[in-house]
Amino acid sequence: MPTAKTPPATTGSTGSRTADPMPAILQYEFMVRALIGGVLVGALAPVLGTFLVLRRFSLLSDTLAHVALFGVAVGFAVNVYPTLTTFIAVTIAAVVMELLRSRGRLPGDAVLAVALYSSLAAAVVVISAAQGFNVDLLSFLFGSILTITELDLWLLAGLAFFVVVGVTAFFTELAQTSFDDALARVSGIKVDWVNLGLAVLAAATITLAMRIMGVLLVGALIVIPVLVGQGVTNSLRTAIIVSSIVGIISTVTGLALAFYRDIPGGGAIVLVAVAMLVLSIAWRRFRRRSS
Amino acid sequence: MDDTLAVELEEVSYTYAGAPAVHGVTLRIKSGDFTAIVGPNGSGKSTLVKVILGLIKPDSGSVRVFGTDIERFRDWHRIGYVPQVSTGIHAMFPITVGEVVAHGRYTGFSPFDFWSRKNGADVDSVLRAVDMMDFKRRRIGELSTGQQQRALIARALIRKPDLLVMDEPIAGVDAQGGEEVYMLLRQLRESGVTILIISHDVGAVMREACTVACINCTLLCHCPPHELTEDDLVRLYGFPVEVLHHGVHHDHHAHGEDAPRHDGFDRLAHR
Repeated sequence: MPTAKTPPATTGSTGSRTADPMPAILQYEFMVRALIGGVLVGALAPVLGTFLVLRRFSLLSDTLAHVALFGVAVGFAVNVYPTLTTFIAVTIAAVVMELLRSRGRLPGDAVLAVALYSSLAAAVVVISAAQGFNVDLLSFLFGSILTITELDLWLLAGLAFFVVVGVTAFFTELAQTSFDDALARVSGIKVDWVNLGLAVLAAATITLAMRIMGVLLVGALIVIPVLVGQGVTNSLRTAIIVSSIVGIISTVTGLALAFYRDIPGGGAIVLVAVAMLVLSIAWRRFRRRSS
Repeated sequence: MDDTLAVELEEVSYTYAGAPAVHGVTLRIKSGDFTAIVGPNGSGKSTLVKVILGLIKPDSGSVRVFGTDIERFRDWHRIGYVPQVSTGIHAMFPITVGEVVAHGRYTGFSPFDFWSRKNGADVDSVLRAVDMMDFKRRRIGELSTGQQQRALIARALIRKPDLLVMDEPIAGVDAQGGEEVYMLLRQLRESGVTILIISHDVGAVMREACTVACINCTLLCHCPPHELTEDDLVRLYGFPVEVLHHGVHHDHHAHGEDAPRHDGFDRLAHR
């Protein structure tokens, strides 16, 4: 991003350049938007990821991300706001997969594999039938901090509200369903509805997170911070909070690295998260040995 | 409808993968009874319990719990369930024993639970009852299978259930732990709780239960333990068995029965 990164010249009354106390990264609107979006995505993705990982359904996010690619391709092909077509495609896929899994029509991993490959194949066909790859489509594939719009931020903020309210209000139901769905059912919890709600929220999160992370890497932000959180605490509540904090640190640090080192944002974010996972594992081992 | 019945099954059948798992089972469990379901592996015991709890829908027949068809049953707070945990709980699941037990208090949607740090005296009380107080803040997945089992029993107890359903509650529990579980069940039975238990520990259930239901796809017999004959057990397990009766004591006061009761089949073996 060399051209976009050239800072605006700040001149004083004498016309000479003065030092601006604000860090360079905050002097650009696109970076401020990326950071706000990054904080929201970093906080949200692991919250939902916690319940997916606990159900051993980690690859759902990766599968839905590939479905998202199909949604993006359709959006470009029919000239409709791609986030909208993506959200529709991912939500339908999430609900169908959940129904297939819960009714035992197919094993969970088989459902994911079928959805992943079929959506990827459909995306390739749609892209080929349209104009082929272009810069915008690539930005969805790998993420781009330059393309985050104000509308994206408003959508993210709205989603953040729903996720926080949804997860905190239905925390007991989500926790019990993840722990043992038979126990949850015998406690009177409507497990099928809880699972569907989680699938829809995961679909919305992936749709919006991929603007920053890219289709290929969005799953990492949903899974890796969760593994850090699960490793360092025994309590589910605390694990969710720790995972969110790790997600935020990963996105902010990753975006800063992307800005200053001129590297892809999605990749930088994931590498920071992986580094934190390695550190957390090392810390856990150290703590075990010393106790 | 009979109000004195906790569970009523009428001609219940369920087929799994093309083969009948449970066929034509009619079973009535009176409120306050301690009923043990016994049978060989794969005989449909766990399937039957899942049907009773509404976890799977039978292909035919009806299931009523406390007089209500299980499909319309809403009084879930009256039921405590202890599933089989022989495969263990995932070690990485970040949930403490205290949290698992506190979840047992669930009676309905409560939107502020996440912000509540309530981990009250009732949690401590049931944890003490199963001798798990020292493990309250430990991650449940890191405990032994027997300890996990006791935590899940505590989770069921905190609900103060009228019907306690347990699927092999002493699987993975050592002899002393198993005896403690049965002591707890005795106390619960004395307080009027209906207990339905699946167990392979034939000797213990013969000693503890009021009635024994022998299942091998169909219900072979349902009777008090002292009425169970060796022939019944041969039909159940499919091979000749030797049953040793040890001691006789009397404790059927709750059911108005005067017949002496055998202390148990201490050993069940191939002849």
